Amino acid sequence: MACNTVLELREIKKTYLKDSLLHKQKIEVLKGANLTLQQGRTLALIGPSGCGKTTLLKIILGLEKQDSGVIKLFGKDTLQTPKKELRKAMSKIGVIFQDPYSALDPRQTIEQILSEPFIINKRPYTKQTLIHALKEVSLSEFDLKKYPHQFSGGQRQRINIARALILKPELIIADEPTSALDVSVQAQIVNLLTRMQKKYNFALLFISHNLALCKYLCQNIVSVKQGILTEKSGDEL
Amino acid sequence: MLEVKNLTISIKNKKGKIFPLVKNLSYKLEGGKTLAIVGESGCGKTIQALSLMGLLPPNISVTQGQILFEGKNILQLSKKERRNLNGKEMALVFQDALTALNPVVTIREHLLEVFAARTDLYLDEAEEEIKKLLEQVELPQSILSSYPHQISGGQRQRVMLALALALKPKLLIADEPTTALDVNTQEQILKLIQKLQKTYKMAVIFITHDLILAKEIADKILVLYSGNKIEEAQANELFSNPLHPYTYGLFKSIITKDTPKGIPLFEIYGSPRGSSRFYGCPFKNRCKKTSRVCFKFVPPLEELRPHHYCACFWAKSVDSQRRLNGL
Repeated sequence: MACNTVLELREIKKTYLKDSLLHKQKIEVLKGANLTLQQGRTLALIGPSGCGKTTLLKIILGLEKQDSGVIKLFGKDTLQTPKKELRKAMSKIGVIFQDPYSALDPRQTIEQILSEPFIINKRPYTKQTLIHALKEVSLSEFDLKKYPHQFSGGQRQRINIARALILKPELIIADEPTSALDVSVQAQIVNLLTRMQKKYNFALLFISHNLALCKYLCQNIVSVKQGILTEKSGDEL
Repeated sequence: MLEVKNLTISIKNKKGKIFPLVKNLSYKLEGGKTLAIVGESGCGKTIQALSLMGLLPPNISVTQGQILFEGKNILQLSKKERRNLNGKEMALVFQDALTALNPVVTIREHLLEVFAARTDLYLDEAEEEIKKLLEQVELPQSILSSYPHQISGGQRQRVMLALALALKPKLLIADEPTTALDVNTQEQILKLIQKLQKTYKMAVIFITHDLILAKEIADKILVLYSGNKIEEAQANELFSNPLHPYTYGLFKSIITKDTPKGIPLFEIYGSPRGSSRFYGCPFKNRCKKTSRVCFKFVPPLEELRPHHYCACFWAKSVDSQRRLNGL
């Protein structure tokens, strides 16, 4: 089982300092977070705004540093792995952001947006690869030349998913991918994510505040409350 | 109190061509009641709300119809008269509170500005009013010295509500006030709107794309699709007997706690952008119940059940039992 573990967090602690006029106040955002995610599984992270979900996401992605605790990405400790190797491990993570409108660069065509992961990670690609990625999310090759503003919210989220999947990642982190979308488009995106997960067998960390959606999509649910993580199986809810 | 008659709102492009965004929209709203306007992004929900407030962008205008507020057609009022109406008679709560508030002005100044611009109150009287307002929207007095970025999303939305209610309007238009909020805060804001509605005895137009929210808050629900009103009924009636295939699709694609795992969710295929807006039914390209007539004519809005209006040839042609089986 251990080799299948994609993500492991142990006792992650994070404190922010809030400056006020008279004194500095310590805000403990994460109080020893533990979490394990296996390949092909879906784990939901649920909790109200400001509970520490996004901080946890930033720590996993290396955008913030934890005060203490261990993060193991694909079995490698992020603090002890050399930078080059860590970067390689990071390329196995795809992220889908909450707001499809601001997640895409308005000055880049879809072709540029989709080829960027290849360029950053110095990997070869052909136009055919990009077309294939678009077709998988039900968009056509003619969309490559278009700009983000020419698409609807649902289509933009499809492009986000295509970009997240293009390097065939082993872990997808989806940060409230449907909260900015209508009910009907939400169903399309959820079905697309499930279909893709079946096909590529990636692990999915799904961040949301919609309990019903988490219950439908995920095997296990971790609720975050005041920096403390509690894990439950989806059927318990 | 409010009657919208055959309202058509159009946009003019750079070449001078005019395209309708909202077509022949009609509805009535009585004082103290809540009307929910439901529909996908881009269906014209917000545009029609802006037209009520006289806040349409310069290239968009009302090309036909009337908006009767307490019997007066407000489209014929002068700019000054219209401005007097906003705030005192009707008020709008915007969707995104963070962008609607001025980032370099404190909450106190935001609230004071309303009283300074629209009333003859002295500073101490206005401050007394602000105290009362904050109590009503359940915010602490300490918030007055904060800037918008220093308070949470829920608190910002409460400030927006306080701004809208400052002059005690008779009509409150809430344009997706809870979309950017988490579930708990969403419920608090909904309860607050309901409480304030009772206190001020005002009518509310609640614009949303969330049907569950609409049912929770509204007396009557109006479904818009691509600028057309396709269904209108009392909230409970609409939930128990959706007539239009689009409304039914919206209901079916909602994920609830009882949605079975592993089975793909119900989808309405395509998007409104793909559908032709000019000939026939606006929903025809995404509908599974189309027939030839749907491609030729726009279905008229008819009363298919008591006080339940629907614009669909298919819904009209079959009886209720067959309709439910067919859907």
